[in-house]
Amino acid sequence: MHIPDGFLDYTICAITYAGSIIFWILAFRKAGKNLTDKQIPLMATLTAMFFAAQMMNYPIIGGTTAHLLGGPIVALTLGPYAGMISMTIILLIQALFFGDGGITTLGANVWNMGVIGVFIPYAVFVLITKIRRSRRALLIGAFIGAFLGDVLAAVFAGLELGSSSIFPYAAPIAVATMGIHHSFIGVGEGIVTAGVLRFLLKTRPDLLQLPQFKLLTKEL
Amino acid sequence: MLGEFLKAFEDIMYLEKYTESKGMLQKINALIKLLSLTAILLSAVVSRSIYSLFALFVIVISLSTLSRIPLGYLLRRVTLFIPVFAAAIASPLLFITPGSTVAHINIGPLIIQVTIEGIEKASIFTFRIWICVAALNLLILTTKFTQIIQSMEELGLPRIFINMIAITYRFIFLFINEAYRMILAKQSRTTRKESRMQHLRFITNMFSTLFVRAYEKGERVYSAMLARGFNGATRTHNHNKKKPTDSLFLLAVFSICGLILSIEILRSAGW
Amino acid sequence: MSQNAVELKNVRYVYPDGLIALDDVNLEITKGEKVAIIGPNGAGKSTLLMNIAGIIKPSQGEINIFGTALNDKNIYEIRRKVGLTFQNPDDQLFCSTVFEDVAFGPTNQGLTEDEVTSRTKEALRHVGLEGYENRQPHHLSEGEKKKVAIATVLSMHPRVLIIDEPTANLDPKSREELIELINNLSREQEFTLIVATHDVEAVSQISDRIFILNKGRVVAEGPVREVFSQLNLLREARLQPPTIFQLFNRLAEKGFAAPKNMPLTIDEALDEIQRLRLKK
Repeated sequence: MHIPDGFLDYTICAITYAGSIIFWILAFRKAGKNLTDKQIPLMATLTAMFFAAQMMNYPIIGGTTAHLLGGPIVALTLGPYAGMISMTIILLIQALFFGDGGITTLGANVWNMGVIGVFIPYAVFVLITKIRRSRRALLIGAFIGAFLGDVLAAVFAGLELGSSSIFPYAAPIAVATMGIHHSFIGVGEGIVTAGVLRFLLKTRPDLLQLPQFKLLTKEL
Repeated sequence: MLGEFLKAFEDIMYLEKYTESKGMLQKINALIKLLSLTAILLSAVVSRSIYSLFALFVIVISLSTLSRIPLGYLLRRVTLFIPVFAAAIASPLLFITPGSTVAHINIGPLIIQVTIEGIEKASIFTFRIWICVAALNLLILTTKFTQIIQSMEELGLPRIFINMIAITYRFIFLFINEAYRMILAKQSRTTRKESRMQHLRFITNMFSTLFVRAYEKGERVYSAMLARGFNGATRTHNHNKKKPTDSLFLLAVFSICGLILSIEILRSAGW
Repeated sequence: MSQNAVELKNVRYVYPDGLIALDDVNLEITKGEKVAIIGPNGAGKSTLLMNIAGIIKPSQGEINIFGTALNDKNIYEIRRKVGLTFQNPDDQLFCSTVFEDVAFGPTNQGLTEDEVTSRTKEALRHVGLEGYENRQPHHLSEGEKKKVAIATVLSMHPRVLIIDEPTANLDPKSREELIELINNLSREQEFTLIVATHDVEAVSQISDRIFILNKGRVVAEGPVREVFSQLNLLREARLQPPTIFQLFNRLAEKGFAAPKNMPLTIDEALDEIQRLRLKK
């Protein structure tokens, strides 16, 4: 899912960088206002933890294993804007320290996993919890959000690869391959995302900041 | 599952070995290095001809040698995984690309043809990716991450963001270690093969536990910052000074890349 | 003009979840004194230290640092005078290099770059880690991390140095080194030293006077020997006097002549045994 350098045309790199930068500025405007001094170390330690937790892989199909993308759980615990900042930091360190990803493709990776992979799960979650307000709806919303987030992030990655002239296959093939592969990953991501939220709701509801959780814990 | 963690430990332990040796790239200012290697990456992405790519390959290998990175180590580190994966992706091209046939493979009634165009397409794709991965690794192997953070500061990224990256980087190792110990502790008590669901449940529990610990750690770190007079506005003193050799290096890389790019553009314009 | 460096009057601290961590704590620590606060896990030691360092505010009561009452206005000034080293160096060291961590405090004080650099060098020299500037905290051993953590506070030139559990999690050699380091520091520099620990063996080597904290209250205070003689109190607080001290107590029970000053350390014990032999 981390697209390395050499897979995307410079035009695609430029477009995705532009898209990511727009969201990034938005995120800093939005989150910057709410970021108190205390939030800086807090977000940093949580980001470091997300980084480590994402390294765990799980079996999917035919003996292959996959990693969590992490975006969904980051979105539902930190909120979408702070979540995007956190994902950007993770992707930056992965690229520039561990060599996962690339410099020219950083914009695309941030767009796929930090924007699509964060905002889609959040939007789906908000929508589903609006329709029904219950503990179960929260968890179902988290599951579906995480699943769709992963699949859509992969679809975007496929689109970017498919539209690049240096990548040898056309968009339909790239999108289908990425999308199908990540629908398996998405199920795992959904289960873990909902599971972590369930754990936190039970043991430390005070750590969940989104209003959807606050409403629920007040009602209970 | 432990493999990933062991690889990370290896990276953490050995990367620094090369960042500390006194090679050419190690002496270049991090921001300059970031800019020059980006120029090389962009040239590789734009280049369509094998000659341009070969020129970039020579540049990357020379830089690596001048920076005292053992060639064998670079080849192993770069080639394994991403370029191998790229070659696998590209392999069908050998057969599906139309053009002049160089070989046949007969599988019963089926005749599969390998074309010269197919070989060219697949090898250029793989070669380009090799160069890109090598260029990124040159940056990683010759630059401490703390210098990269400083170069992002020079690029003018927001202070809050820089502070957050620095603290995150500091604690990544701690949490990787913690996750690793949790996996070990769990594996020592696992006496039969688990189902997929059991595995996901373990990841969930571990993730949740780490979340709570990270939150509490964040609060304690904040106290530690307060205890040392933190009042919101962090200042740092920058030690990254640029030398004339840095500008010279940047100029050299930019002109070579510019030359390659102009040849490529002229070629695609039909020259 | 008060000679007290630190003075707590009826301090009470209640955590947001209702847990009473400190209850009616009174203490006076004079300038230049070396004291230890001992108590079992969960006694409120760390909470007490954070109150003194002005990181959290007491729910009730008053804290005076060099005669000035702590309030919202002078909090930064107080934090400059009172340096706190946390128990876990991984909480204290949050920067990506040793230099940045040690420089964090002085930089926040608004010193110039040269001053910051010289203070950082000086602090690292004091803890015996010259040349560690560019090392990354996650590559250091536990003992080195503890020393750097102390340096991060020394670089601020505090007048009160507080160290939370200096010897926890260290191997015997590192522990010895750290005790020696603390002793050297308090000999060379004129600060008031407050150490929280349940390492009773170390207490007698570092401090002149101790406080026992149990369930959020100060249950005993006095010179080291005096407090360690109150065996019932210690037992209640889930503590034990140093092994040597216990040994001589037991010997006294068995009818051996009890020395006037019960030995606390191996050196003192050796002196005592020597004396007994000379008497014979």
